[in-house]
Amino acid sequence: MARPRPGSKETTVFVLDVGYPMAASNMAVAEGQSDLEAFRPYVYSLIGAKVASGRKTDYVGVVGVGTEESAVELDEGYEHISVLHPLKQFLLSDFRTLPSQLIPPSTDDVQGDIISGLLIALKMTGDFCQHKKFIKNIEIVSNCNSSADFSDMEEIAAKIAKDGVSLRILTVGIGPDDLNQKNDKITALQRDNYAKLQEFVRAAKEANVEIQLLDYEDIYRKLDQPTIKKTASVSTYRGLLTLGDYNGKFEDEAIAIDVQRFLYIQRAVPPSTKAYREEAEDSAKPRALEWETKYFVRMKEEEDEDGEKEEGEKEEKKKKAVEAPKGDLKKAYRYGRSLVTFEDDEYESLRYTADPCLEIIGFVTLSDFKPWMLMSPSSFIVATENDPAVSALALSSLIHAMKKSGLYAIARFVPRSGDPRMVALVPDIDIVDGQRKFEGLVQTELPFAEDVRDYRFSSLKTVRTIKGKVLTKHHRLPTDEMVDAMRQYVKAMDISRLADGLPAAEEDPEGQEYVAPGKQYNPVNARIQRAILDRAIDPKAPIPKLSESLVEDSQPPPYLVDAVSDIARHLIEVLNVKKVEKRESLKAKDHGEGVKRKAAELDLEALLEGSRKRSRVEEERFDIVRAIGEWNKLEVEVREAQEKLVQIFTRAGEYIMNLLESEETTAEEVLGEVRLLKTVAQEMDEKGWYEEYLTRLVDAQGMSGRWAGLEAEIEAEGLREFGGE
Amino acid sequence: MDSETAFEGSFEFDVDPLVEPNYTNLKSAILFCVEVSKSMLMELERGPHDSEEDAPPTPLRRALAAAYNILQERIISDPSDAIGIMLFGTEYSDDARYPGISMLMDLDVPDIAGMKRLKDVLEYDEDFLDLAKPASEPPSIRDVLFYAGHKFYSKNEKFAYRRMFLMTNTDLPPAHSPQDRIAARTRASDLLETGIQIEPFFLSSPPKLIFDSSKFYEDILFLMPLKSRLGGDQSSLKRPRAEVSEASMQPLLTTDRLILESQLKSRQAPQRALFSIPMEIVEGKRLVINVKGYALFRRQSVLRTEFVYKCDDDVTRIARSKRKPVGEDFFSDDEDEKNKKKKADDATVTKPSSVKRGFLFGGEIISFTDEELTQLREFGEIGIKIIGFKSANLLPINMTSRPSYFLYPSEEDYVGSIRTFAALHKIMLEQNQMAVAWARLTANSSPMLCNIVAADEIVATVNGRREQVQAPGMHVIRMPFVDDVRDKPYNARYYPSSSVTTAIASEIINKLTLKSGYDPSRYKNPILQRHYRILQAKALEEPFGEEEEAEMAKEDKTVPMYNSIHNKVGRLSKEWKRLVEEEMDRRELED
Repeated sequence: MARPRPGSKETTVFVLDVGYPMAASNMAVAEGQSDLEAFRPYVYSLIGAKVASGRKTDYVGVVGVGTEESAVELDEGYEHISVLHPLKQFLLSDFRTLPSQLIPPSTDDVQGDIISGLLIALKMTGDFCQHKKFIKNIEIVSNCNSSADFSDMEEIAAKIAKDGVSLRILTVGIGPDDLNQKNDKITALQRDNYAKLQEFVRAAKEANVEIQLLDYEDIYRKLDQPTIKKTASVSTYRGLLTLGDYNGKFEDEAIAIDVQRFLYIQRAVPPSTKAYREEAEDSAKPRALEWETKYFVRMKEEEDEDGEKEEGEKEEKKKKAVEAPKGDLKKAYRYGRSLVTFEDDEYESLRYTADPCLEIIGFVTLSDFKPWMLMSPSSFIVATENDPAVSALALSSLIHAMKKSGLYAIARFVPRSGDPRMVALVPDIDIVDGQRKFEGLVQTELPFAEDVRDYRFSSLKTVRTIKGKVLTKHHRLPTDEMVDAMRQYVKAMDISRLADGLPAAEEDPEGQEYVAPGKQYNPVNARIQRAILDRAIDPKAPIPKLSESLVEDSQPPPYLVDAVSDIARHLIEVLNVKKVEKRESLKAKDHGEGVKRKAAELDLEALLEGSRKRSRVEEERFDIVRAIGEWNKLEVEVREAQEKLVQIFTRAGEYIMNLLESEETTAEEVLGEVRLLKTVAQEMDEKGWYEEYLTRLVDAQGMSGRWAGLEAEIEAEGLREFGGE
Repeated sequence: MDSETAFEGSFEFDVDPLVEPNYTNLKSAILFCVEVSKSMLMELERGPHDSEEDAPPTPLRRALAAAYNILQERIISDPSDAIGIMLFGTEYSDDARYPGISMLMDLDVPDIAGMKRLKDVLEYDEDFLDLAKPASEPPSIRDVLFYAGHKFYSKNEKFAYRRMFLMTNTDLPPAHSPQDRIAARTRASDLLETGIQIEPFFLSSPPKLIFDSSKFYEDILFLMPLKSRLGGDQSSLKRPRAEVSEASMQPLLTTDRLILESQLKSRQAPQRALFSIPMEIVEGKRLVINVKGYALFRRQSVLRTEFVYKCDDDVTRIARSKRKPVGEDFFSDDEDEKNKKKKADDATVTKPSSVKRGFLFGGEIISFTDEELTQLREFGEIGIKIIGFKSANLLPINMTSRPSYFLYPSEEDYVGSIRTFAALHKIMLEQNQMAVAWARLTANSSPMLCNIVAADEIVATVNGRREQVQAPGMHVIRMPFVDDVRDKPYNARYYPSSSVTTAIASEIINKLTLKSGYDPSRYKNPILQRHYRILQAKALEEPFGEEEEAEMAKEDKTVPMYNSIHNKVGRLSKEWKRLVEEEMDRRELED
């Protein structure tokens, strides 16, 4: 199968039924809308995408069937048919005429023959394209409720085949189901016409001409979908894939395969905005902005400059900006504060020289593959289509060997001179419907040493105290019960293979991967596309919402959510995650109600908010008894109380640290404070805070020999145990 | 934001999942505080990477060489950073009130002259010994910390990060009474409170000198505010919380110069979270935890050249560009002098009201107001929503679209986040599952679908030291939308290899496996390395000729080891080539 070539020319003629019968409303899916109104968005989005692409070689023509005028000067049978737009690049001015053209006539005798419309479209296409190479399309939209002449269909199919036109017929108001089912709205004429269209498609297929016949149901759901600009994959490297020194002394034994690289993933970027200037009201078109760039250097303000500096300014800006003429600018690299300039020929020496190449350095087992290290969009390396196909065979041998051995390659890749990267080459073998076979190497860039940030993070399995003690039980670590609950949940929420939103068995043919990669539309791009189209049609159109159908996949399937609700509830209970209200919000609240608050609360606030700036050593004694006493008196919500508790722990902790530092503190004093904290923690069922605190305390007291016995005392008194479980 | 982005960038929709801050724009100040003492001047045995010609290494030389090593790259890669080197314990003092402390390089954006001076000190023994005379009475750590703080505070510029790299091999300074400890701790705590991070680099030279941080420094440096100890990871995005990590307290051996160099290298970048957002595990916000996101892998490239202009006073300065629409009078001469200066100096330019925005469509512009454009960018809540789990084998490795983000939990907004994340992490690894999620990471970013993959912690011995070589956590890997996927280049000719050629190819590739996997630290970017090297040579008037070229080429690990390939698979490759030809001939005959 030939690869699509970039930059090919294309024509599309729309044959649109706008006759009187189109004013009727036939469809349940678009109730209350006439058939004509129902298909308008479809036409707008198809033609709009072509306008938006701005491609000069994408030509659009529109034939109206059932127009008041009969502008086509042909024989009988072509009444009420006119060429609304000859084939040309569609511009906004053309696009804006569509709404006024897609309106049904007021008298019932105004209707036309869609087959005649098709013939006109074929003629337009043929006249326009002559013998030049074009992709040719014709799209018919009709509700089949006007009489049509189906007598020459065989001939027409032959012409379609000969001209190489792809024909698509979209019916509104009637579909295949309407032939069998009783539907009062469907007329006999519609049934008859539709059956004839079906016959036409069937007969054409026998003659190997593929004609698409779609009904509104087929596209209705897709109306929200954006039109994706299909970009042909461009070869971005054509050269050798080598193993060994193919340029040097081992040339005879080095492996070299002719390959090509094609982009596979490339971020589709939504259109960017343009700045322009609106001219005086009478001028029709806005003018795009022209830009100019100026360069400025900042110099120290000279002291004697007119002596006109103002006081405030002098403080603020001691430098002035001086314009530097562009012609006098030189290039330099920054070297700290210094600037390093090179002569023109010296710049050459800065450049790293390397010829384009793709050289294998070695192989790594796929089980060691770290997908998170990949840096760039994926490309494919495939064999060039040489004759004879030695490279295809050679590459295939390598790909199969890699696949079999579970290895991927590390290679040095220089796409253009002097730009080396490290890449991973992963074998990919894909056989689609037993027909289109694909073998290639996925190529993605790997990081260099300089690209890696060596951040360290604490283990998620143990908690290590400052003193180096390793704890396996801690409120930061999950208990076995939590882990079990999570295991159940993760297993239950498996969406690898679903049918009707629930897990499907391996052999279930309906089973499909939920949210399969690369299958969802980018809702952001779609929305911008939609906003532009809406406004192109109607300059007052509001900004559309993010299409719900496009973000459907951002949720777990509802059936599955229902099915796992018990497991989820258990998980939530066991993990007991609590949201912490932000401290700021608490403060903000205080500001508002400050005056009315109870005195006790204010005292507590004062204690809690004690200045952090004061030196720890001099810090006044923190009265934990009082703070907790006040806390007990508080009539606040649990959430708020809990936050205050955290603050009490914090302050209490700081206070006890201070106690430990003081020469006068006795062990009993410290133990007393700890007991107090334990009591209050138990009341609040705040095991986590207490344990955390105690771990810190034990670490802290180890700091000096004086407290060596304290840990033992804490243990002895059972203060280490929280109890109450 | 310069004037250009004020115009062009404010409504761009080409939003990367995340607009990341440019690290080079985040200025940091780093102050190396290096001890000078008898023990720091103790002669060491030469290590595996020391040249026989150089003077025998001492801990002080190791420390200064490592600092110089970092400086060499940073001065080019982050030219706005301020860097200083302070020596404590020297006979010479800069300030009589703080005896024993002197600045080898003042804390400032370094320049060529400063670098040359530093280089001379390291190269000429006389210079070195001159400055490395130990004081008879070393300064207290309290004074060292105080003086370092003073150096930071006296800088007027704003720095995103202020960091002090403390390098010493004295585990118990002479002044270590309880009062001394309290005083030093108070100073350390002052530094932490004002956002100055202390990074200890403790040098240990067994058997003569073994550094034990519990003797003194644990008391001093672990005194971070208790709040952050209790509340867990409190590091806020805006103001990084300065903490001394437990791992950084472990002493570094002086046997090999690479130990200290690589430690410095890995700790020079401040650990900075890009975002801190909720992660929903059970649908409907029923189980939400807090996670922070980090960028562990990002392309580092050569900084662009700057335009410079030689001013009237003969000084060459950097010229900044300002872009404006033609006809607008931002820089007009008619404006009075004061306004003109202000405008030209002002980083942002206000948009004139006659300028509108819109999208090009069919040769004309479809106009939108600024409010409407903002509305177009409303993409829903920020956060990660897990949709479900899949076998990790379903991760499409042919569909990478951008570098990943690393997630690690924080108790910041949700108490219990860490244990919940840890449980999920454990199960994802145990069951070989990945999470599929819908994510919007920051206010500036558009939503994406992503796979979230768990990575286990890996600790290995690096340069004789146990190091975490893979952090425990999860990686967010963006999934492409259908818009982003192009057609696969289906093979026009399908020539599957026969089992014979495949077998010999297997033999070849199995002989060429890299045992350690892909280890990025082995592969330096040759473009960057060359750039650093030549720029430095030009700046410091160092030679760069054929010899240096050859040396650089030798260091370039991105070039395959041809000899080794020849030795391992030379004969097999020849055989394989013959087989491929043969098979080709056979098929041609069959056709």
